[in-house]
Amino acid sequence: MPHSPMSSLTPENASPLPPATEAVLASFVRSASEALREDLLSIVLFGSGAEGRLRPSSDLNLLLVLARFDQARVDAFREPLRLARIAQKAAVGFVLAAELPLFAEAFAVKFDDIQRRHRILFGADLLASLSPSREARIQRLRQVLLNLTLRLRERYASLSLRDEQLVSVVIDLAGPLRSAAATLLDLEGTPAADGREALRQVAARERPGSEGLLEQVTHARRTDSLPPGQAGPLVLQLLGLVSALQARSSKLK
Amino acid sequence: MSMNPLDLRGPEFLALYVGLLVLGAFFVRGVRRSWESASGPFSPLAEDPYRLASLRGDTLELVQVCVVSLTERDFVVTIAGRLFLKDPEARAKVRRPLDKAVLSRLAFAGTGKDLDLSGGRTLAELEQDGIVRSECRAIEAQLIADGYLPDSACTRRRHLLAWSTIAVLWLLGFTKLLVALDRGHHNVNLLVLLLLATPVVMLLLIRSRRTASRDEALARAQEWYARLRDSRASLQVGGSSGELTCLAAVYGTALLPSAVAALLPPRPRPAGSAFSGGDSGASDGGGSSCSSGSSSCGGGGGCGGCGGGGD
Repeated sequence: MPHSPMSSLTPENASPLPPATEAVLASFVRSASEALREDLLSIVLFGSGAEGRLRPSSDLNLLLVLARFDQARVDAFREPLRLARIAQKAAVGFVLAAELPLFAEAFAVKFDDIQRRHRILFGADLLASLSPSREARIQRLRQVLLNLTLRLRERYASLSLRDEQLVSVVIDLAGPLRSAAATLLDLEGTPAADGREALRQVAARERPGSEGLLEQVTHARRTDSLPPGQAGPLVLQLLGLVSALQARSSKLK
Repeated sequence: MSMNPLDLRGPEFLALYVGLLVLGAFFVRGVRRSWESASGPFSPLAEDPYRLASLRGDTLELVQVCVVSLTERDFVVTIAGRLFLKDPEARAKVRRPLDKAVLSRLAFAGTGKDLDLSGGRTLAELEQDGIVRSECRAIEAQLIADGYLPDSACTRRRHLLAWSTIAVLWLLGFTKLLVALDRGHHNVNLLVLLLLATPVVMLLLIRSRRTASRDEALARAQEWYARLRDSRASLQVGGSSGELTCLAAVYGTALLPSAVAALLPPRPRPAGSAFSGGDSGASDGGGSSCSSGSSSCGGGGGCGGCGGGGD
């Protein structure tokens, strides 16, 4: 089955990031290329930052693909890395080029998401030619969904009387849930345009009449809050949705 | 009608002089900015938070930022407004000379029954300490060498510029004064006042510890760290992430969350402590909130130190 089309978002087809964020990225890339020199093969911006949909609480997700992890060179990059994390919530991963196929297999759902939403800031697009196996994607999807289920149960049990803390649970869930929905539809052979659309389609089918569910999630992400008394029921509804995704994923072959 | 300004009537000449004074002020400010603009790109990601703190504020601000850093890293603790070592081996764990200097002046408070609160230091005591001041001056000297703060050559250039402008204005003003007296007009008090005000205005314009490159650098840092500022309410001590340190360094300790500020030693009242070498008004951004009356400084909460982050 064909994998969904992988395309690198360019500044032309992604919404622009705030100027300060672009400035920090440019400086980050400069510092990385100066410190890591020829060891640095590629810098990939992925997630909401690549789409230009960065929210105040969003991390600026970056993946550095290296030829090798050299201590002296990485040490020289330490301060810019630390300050980028502080200034713009840069969350940086280091992966060796040789590890990319393994990375794609082991984190197939995340990798799918990176391939759907990424921007190359430096070097070549080393992700484009990679494609995790269907088996790995199914396996990882089930694992991610089970993990989400367990986490949601625990969070609800621990925090159901603390609305303000449950809000962050809802906010943190949205990204993985969208990625999982997109991978699920992709594996089912009906790929959606993006994670947001995938989740909308899955929710519409699995929870008919629950359009408000995703609106509440969007509201929580935008405002970092929910009306009193809504967070608990919302988490339970989301738990139901995750279970429905799990059931569908279990039918994948 | 004569176009000679010396032939103008008193009020008209005063208006002309005031106009020229304002023009002269803009001229001095403009020339100063063009001389002192940054020659190369400034990257806040390449800057140590202590340098940013020193760029923004005075010695006390810098010491405060250092204290925030050491508090954030759980090396020091504030008890009854005085700072103590929390980790007796902290000094061996830090890299920056200023961190080492501050830690070397602090005593371990002990624990439980052995609690000894005699060896603590206040912020003012730290700021006045010779070793600490020497390390602060070293950071400032580097900023001067990099062109962000005025050096002696820069100060000389500024004086030359200001006094040249003053000379031109005075030449016109004093000539008019002599002409007026010669013509029997003795109501020249306003003119004399303006002549006296001329050097005051010009010297105020060149007195600043700031340079244009310093202002540009700080503005850029404050722009780059805006996300940190906007999410500051969620910051806590104990993360060792350096976020509190950078927040305090770039915007001032006034922007620290109140729960964090309460863990820091109070900033001394301005009257009770000697501020460092630079001119007053040296701090900006979030600023040294504490010097402005209503804050909780001096009493405890609102102003604390800051810190430098990661070794």
